[in-house]
Amino acid sequence: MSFTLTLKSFFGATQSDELLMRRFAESGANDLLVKLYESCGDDLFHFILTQSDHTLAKDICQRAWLKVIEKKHLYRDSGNFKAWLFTLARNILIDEFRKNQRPTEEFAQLAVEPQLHGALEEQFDLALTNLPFEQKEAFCLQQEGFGLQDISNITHSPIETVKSRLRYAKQSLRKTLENYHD
Amino acid sequence: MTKLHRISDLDLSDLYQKRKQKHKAPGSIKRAVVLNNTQSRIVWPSFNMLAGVGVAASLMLLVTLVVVQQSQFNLPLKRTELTLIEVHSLDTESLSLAENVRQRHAQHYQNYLRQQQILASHHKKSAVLNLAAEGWELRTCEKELLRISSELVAALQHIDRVDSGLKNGDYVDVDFDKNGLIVGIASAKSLPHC
Repeated sequence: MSFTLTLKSFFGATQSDELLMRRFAESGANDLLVKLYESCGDDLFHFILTQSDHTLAKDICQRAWLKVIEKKHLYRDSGNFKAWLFTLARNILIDEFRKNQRPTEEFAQLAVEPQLHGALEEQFDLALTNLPFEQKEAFCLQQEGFGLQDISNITHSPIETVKSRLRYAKQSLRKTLENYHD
Repeated sequence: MTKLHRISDLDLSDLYQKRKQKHKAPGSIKRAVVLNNTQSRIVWPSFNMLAGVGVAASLMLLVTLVVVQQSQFNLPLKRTELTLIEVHSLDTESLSLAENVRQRHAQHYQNYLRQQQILASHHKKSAVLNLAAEGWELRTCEKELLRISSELVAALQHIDRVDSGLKNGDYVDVDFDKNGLIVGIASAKSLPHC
């Protein structure tokens, strides 16, 4: 029952986002943009923050939303708005990494080793931050409600590779959290 | 193990959502995005108006150019005709002056050359005929002695180019062609003034 409700709300939200985006592309109205932002803004920021740091995430998200405004005429009706938004943001992030010649693993390497004491949330936070870039983004995208095909499209990777990254990511997270429980 | 696995999956999702709740997007992003959209909406109508004015001006300019070009397209034939007439009149005027003299001189010179050619090809010399055993001898006023073989005399007589009845000491007119060859011998119509 709960799963059905979640599924309905997910599809409802998706349709709503697409409808909002379609209307925004036609009118450019501020209220529609605000609704879209309220629907996906926090999700996008958290996704980018997990891949980078606070300053860069803020910059990337702002640029991604500006791109939505700028390229609104390119949005296709058949597309999932959230997937389109995440693809734009991820491409900007990758371009930023390439421009500054920063490896995607840099942020993971900066993370602190997980400690055996502290809250479970903190352990999860550290474990997630320590994941390799590709595993981290695959896990985050799945948690954001994207299917394997969507993740494959957003990350420009084959589905089998996505599956493999998800498996490794979950194994790694599970291992860290099991150690914490023990 | 299976139970642990299922719980772990749910836990992971739960932990992820909790983490997301702790990291909300800063309000500055929303403000900047909305402000940008507002500015772009303000810019768009004025841009549209400017674009409209620009398009209208371009169309007017295009129409003007087409009209001007079309009117000019009809003119060149008339102008060309007029130009030709002017050239003719200038040419006639120049002929009446020095050019006219030059042309007349050239025409006279051509006549002179033609007459000289005629003279060269059909000139005659007066001479005194002296009949000799081996042929005829002709002594001209320039004290030149021309010997004519019997064969040539016979050949000339054969084509009726030698007067019959010529005798020793007669004054004759000797006809030469343009190459200087004797083509006829006839009795002189008038006495030579040597």
